[in-house]
Amino acid sequence: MVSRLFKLLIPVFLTGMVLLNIIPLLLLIFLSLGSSWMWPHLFPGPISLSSWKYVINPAAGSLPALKTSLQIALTATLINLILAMPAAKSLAHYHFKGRKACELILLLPALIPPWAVITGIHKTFIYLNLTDTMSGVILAHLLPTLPYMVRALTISFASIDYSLEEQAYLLGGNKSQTFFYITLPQLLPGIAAGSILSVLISLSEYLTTLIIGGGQVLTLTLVMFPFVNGGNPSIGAAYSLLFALMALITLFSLDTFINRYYSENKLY
Amino acid sequence: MASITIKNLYKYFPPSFALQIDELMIKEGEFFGIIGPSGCGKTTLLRLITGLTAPDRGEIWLNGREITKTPPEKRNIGLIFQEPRLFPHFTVEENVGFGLKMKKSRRRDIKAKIDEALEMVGLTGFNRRYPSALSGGQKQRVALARALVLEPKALLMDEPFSALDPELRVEMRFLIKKLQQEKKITIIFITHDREEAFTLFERMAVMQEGKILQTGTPLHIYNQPQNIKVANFLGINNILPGYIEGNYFYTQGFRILLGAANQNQTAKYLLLKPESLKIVNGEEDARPFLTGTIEEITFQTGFYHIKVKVQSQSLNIIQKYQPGKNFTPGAEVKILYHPEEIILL
Ligand SMILES: Nc1ncnc2c1ncn2[C@@H]1O[C@H](COP(=O)(O)OP(=O)(O)O)[C@@H](O)[C@H]1O
Ligand SMILES: [Mg+2]
Repeated sequence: MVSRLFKLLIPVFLTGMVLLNIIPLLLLIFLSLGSSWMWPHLFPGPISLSSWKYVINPAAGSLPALKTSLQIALTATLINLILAMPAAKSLAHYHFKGRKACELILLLPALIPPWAVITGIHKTFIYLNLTDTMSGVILAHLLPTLPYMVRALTISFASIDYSLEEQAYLLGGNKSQTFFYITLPQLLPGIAAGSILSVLISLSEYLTTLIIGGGQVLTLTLVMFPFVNGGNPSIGAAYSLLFALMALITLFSLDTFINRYYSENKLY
Repeated sequence: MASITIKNLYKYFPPSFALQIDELMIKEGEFFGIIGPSGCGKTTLLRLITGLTAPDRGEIWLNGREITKTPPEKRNIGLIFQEPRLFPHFTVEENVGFGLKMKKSRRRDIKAKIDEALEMVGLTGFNRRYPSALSGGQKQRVALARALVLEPKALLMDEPFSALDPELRVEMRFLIKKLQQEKKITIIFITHDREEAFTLFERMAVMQEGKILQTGTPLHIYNQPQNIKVANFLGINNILPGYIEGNYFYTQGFRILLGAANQNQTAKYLLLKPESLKIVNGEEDARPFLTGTIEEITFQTGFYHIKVKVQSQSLNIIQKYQPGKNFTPGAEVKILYHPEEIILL
């Protein structure tokens, strides 16, 4: 009886979720089209493309900001991958003393609010001449993203079937061949999950970029913030949609790239 | 010239397992078996020979070269496990060609060799299938082809057919025997199945608790087991304790007449093979006999397995099924034995 009730509720629940996600998007679209839709009007007001014109206008600097955003997100993700790989492997396979503590410490940046540490980092970066530079921002973005990469890869490494590696050695595969042909394909789902999280978090990072970049490194998030924050909601909405589009295309390309790699990692 | 030689090999696994093999030689082209109960170290021995496990001390030689420290990928020794361990993301032909690809063989040679290997194991045309679309037996054939395609110096097999159903197991035994005879491959084959041992092995070693108890042809070991553990493992399960006096071996409650070859020994045990005993109901026979009562009868594919109580001891007897000849529990019977087929230890 209860389970039948559940079965009935699931579509209702799903529809609700979808609506909850779509309604704000629809509102954003209306908003970006400059029309107001206020009580007691039954339909939204006339459409205007002025906000979009503003966003697309080269003077607004949207395109360079978009490029900067992607550059930072992708570079940070690549560095994350390189850093997280050995850490995740150790966490998954070596049962050393203090492993749990290590795992927790590696997760800390995701648990502690960024503004609690960012001023300290800012000071250090001033000494290192890293403030107001893209490199500095990339380094700072590792902080909130690395924990997710480590987490995703640790789970991946833990689920690897090592008997297959043994098998590859027995068939004459050396260490790097075995990693490339046997281990890596098993890690790919984790790599994909970690990268996607890392990219998305980096793209939406605001505070770190603002403080370390000193307003010199302009990402899309930085550019749109004043508008969203009350300046001009209509332009803010257009930027938000642009941001969503960028994130979507990045995700899609990342996914295709990994799938393509997977299917091209064939022997012949 | 022995193909594989092991000297003073030692490996310890905490807390309590130690593998210790003083000497073992396997000839080139030989079908060599290792038989022993679960947990006696058979798998460990194969892993040591392939290099997947490093020994604490000792030496392993392959064709006159010491390979104790050679990494597994440089030994070219094939190993087939009980599970096929196929790479799930590769097709059958990619699996089979993996080793050749790693050696950077020419593409055209690879293709030809893959097809040849698949034909050997009876899987022609399966090239593009993924492992998930194969049956258990087919997977194990692919694993076999994948090992054979590299023309390994030796092929080690760790209970390779024990996960298959009985008919398939017999078929696979037949296949491996045929391949071994055609290709003169050196094979070390592990099993805990006596029947498999007797059908396959030219020579074998009986292992227990990390040690080799005896080596020889299966028949030789069966007829002259060195101790009661070996005998018991090979299915000689009538082990009577006692002593020899004159022409007889005395055990609890009865005595057994010895043959000419068996006298004057200081044996403590007398062994009777279950199939060397014959139950008669009344018909005359000149052979010596014991008398007892049938306790239990089970029927297994053409044979009766019968337990007969003689005084305080139970004897296991295997009798061929004959129409018209029946055994009933509780019946008093004569058990004939051959004095010349007795084993004294
Ligand atoms: N990697 C290992 N670490 C610790 N003990 C092991 C390891 N591998 C095997 N052993 C132990 O060694 C003994 C022999 O195992 P194994 O060689 O697998 O036996 P078999 O193959 O004859 O059944 C067992 O007691 C097993 O628990
Ligand atoms: Mg084993």
